[in-house]
Amino acid sequence: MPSSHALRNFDWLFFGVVLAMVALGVLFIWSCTHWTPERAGMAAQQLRWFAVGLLAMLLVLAVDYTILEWLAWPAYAASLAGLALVMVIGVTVNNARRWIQLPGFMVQPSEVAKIAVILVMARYLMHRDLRAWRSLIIPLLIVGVPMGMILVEPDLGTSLTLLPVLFGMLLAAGAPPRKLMGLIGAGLLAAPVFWFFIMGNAQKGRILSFLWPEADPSGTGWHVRESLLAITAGGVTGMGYSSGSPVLLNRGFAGHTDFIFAVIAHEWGFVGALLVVLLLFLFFSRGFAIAASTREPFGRLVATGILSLLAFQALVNLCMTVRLCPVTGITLPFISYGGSSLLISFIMVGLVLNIGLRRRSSSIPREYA
Amino acid sequence: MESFARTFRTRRGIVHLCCALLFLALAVRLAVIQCLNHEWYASYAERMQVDVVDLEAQRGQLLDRDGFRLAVTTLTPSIAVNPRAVPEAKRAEVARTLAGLLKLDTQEISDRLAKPKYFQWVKRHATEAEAKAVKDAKLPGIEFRDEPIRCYPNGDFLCHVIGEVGADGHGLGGLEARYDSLLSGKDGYETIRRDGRGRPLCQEQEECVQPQSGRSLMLTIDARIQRIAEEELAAACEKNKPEHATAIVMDPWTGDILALACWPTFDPGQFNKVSAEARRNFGVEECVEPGSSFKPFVASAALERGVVTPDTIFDCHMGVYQIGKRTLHDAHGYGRLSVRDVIAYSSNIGMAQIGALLGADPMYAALSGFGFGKVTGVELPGESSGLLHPVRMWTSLSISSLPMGQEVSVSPLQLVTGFCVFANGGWHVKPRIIAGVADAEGRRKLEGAAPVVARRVLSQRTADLMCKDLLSAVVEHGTARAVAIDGYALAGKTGTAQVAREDGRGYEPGAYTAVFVGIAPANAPRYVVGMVVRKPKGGAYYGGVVSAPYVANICERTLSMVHFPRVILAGKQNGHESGSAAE
Repeated sequence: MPSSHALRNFDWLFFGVVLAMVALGVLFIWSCTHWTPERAGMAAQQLRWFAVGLLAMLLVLAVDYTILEWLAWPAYAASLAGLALVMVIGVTVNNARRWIQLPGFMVQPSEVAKIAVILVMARYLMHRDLRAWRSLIIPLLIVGVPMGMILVEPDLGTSLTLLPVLFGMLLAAGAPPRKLMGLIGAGLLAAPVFWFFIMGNAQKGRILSFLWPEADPSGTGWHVRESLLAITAGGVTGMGYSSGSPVLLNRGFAGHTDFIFAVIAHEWGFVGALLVVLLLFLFFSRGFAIAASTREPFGRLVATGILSLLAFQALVNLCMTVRLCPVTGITLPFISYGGSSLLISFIMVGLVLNIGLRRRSSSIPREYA
Repeated sequence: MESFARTFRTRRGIVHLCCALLFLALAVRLAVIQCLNHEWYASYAERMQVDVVDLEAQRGQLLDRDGFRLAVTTLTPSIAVNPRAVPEAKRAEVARTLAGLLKLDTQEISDRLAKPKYFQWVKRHATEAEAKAVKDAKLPGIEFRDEPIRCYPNGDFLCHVIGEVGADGHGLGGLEARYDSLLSGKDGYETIRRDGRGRPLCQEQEECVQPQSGRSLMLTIDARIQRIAEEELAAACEKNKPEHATAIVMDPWTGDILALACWPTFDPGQFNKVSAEARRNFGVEECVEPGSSFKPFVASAALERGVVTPDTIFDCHMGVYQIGKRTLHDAHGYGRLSVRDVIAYSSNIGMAQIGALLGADPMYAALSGFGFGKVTGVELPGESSGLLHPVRMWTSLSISSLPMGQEVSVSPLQLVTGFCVFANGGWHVKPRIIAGVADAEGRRKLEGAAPVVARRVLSQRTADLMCKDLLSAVVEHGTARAVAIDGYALAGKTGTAQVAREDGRGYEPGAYTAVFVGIAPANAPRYVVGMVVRKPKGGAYYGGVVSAPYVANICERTLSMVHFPRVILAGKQNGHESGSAAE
């Protein structure tokens, strides 16, 4: 258990921002679901998942995170096995095999893989010289293999979230920025390969409808247009909480999941939207400050990976609701409705808080301290 | 390792900065679309414009005291269209077909089809045949709705009491107007909206309010008696060609108005074909000088106070008598008449003397006791209070004018209500026309209204004296002796009043109001029947000739309809003493 001395390092502001975001999420999940009978219990369900997430976070906080250095590779292996298993016995939901049915509940190996990739990357990159090109090969493989496996599920959104993990952690570990730019350039050159050989029609459609939303009034283009209309209609002060506007009441509209930001911006207007943006910014500022507060490289890298991932998710989600980037099916962390996403997010928060709690002033490995 | 830490710190700063810039960009984007972008908002507002369709509540019915339907609401097919479901290419064709089938303007329909709406009326209250023709045409986007419409199955029957309903479904006159809120219930509405793919959205409870049906009114009117009254009134008017006329039948014991007929009539379903003037309910809205029909009220007050007895003798001065500066005339000259005969032969000179004996204050008290000068409170709109001046406004002539029904105006209903006092043993009853409230279908009575006995006006003795002696004498050998009915004793009083000029100066020459109020049967009163005929132009103008025979017919037909036993009194025949009836 953390000592009282360690508890002084607990970052209440970081934790408070997370709680505020969850509260906001529950509030607005209720606002746009209580009208329709089959969605009526969703806000309460989100609260229950919040309780589970909080419990998981406390469990993560209880143990010194350095134990994960030893658990990293086994966890990575397990999640790869899980991803492989999904291809064989996965449950198909909405034309995508993402879930494995366990007795009582379903797990999404790709969510577990996110954490495993971060841990293994941190484990591998600590104390490593990354100035040579070939030193980047192993990190690329560590991220690339699960990414590919998730991509074929297909789950473009989740696989894309691993990219910022790769670059963020490489950058933090000291890889030369010029080399990272080179990597990104190579990726862009390879884009046609992705387009023609790897991406499915659904994903292509999303990108097309982002570029020309009017061409696709019924699918994702319609979603973005409705979202933009709702946000615009919100104006400065909004239409009022739970005002039940026709767009948000529409059963086809994913107001409680991917587009919850549109609901907030519609009902609380620019004020509410700015509140969300500020909360998220505060979250990442505090998170990066925690990462910087420890000199212990493993923790620092894990925190960086987690924050890169969550920041990417949040930014992509917000950008897609205001038509700054294509619809990818990435939810807004802490705010959107969804159990496993909330649980994983809270485990990640637990890890960051754990790292801040047991911050170390030296970068020298413990064995030699 | 120090260099690694420094690198990390610098890079963290850069990443932090980038992150901040991204969030800033997001905030700017939000500010632009939320605070500055008005065009988007306009397009959103247009989308928000959902179609709201009023759902008209079913209007309650009007029923007579036995549940006979007087005014009902039926459903007619109304035709509507969802313009967004009509492809642009087919608009012209659809408009042309609809216009042809429904005999409407093609241009107007195509204008409606061009609107970006989900709901537009094409024709409300169409006929069944039209609806079927449109249905068979199988046009896109056509919808049908059953809408309630007011119907008067009996045409002009009881029209002045029922009133009429305007195009908006709300009452304009009569009971339809007076009880509009109760009858019309509460309209509902339906909101029609579709999602981005044009599918209808589920109807949330907030978006659809079901209409609440109105209540039905049960009237005290007896449709059978009303029918008799209307027929007899029409016959009287046919013969005498008056300006207008009214007949009222009341139950003297409860104040129930059993019939209230006015002439000329109109069809409430096509009320706009006649003037508003013709739709006035003459029975309660207009006042007349009652003339001699007012005499019993003063006489009964004199009897009640013991000033006179039925047998007190007055000298009637052979038809010419000077009181102060005024010279009174009787239609026929009489010498000495008992009070009974003053009423029976309707002597103005005799009544003036009775009035003088009674005195101004007791006369006024008695007359206001009968309810003159104030509204009866019947549940009909626009009731007139009539005119009865208080004593301080009387002139020196008033004490002799009032006993013969001048300087006073009464509504026909007030007059009949006054006669009810003689019929029911001295009680002033409040006339009423609403017997109760029933559900919209008129099947279940929800609440009833109890009759109101206002107050005692005369003692039982005086009232019986009036009804069975003085007023019976009018029919037995007085001014109405021509109208006696076989088997039923009839009491009553005639009246022939000159019509006061509208400028208030004297009377219109040759213009009369012919009045008769009868009580039948006189020995056991069941009905009080009044008929007021204004400005008859058929030659005759005496109440005893113009009105009395038809009142007698109403009484006889009504009593025989209810199988009231006839009493044949052997040897008691009506006297035939002199020629024409006198007033």
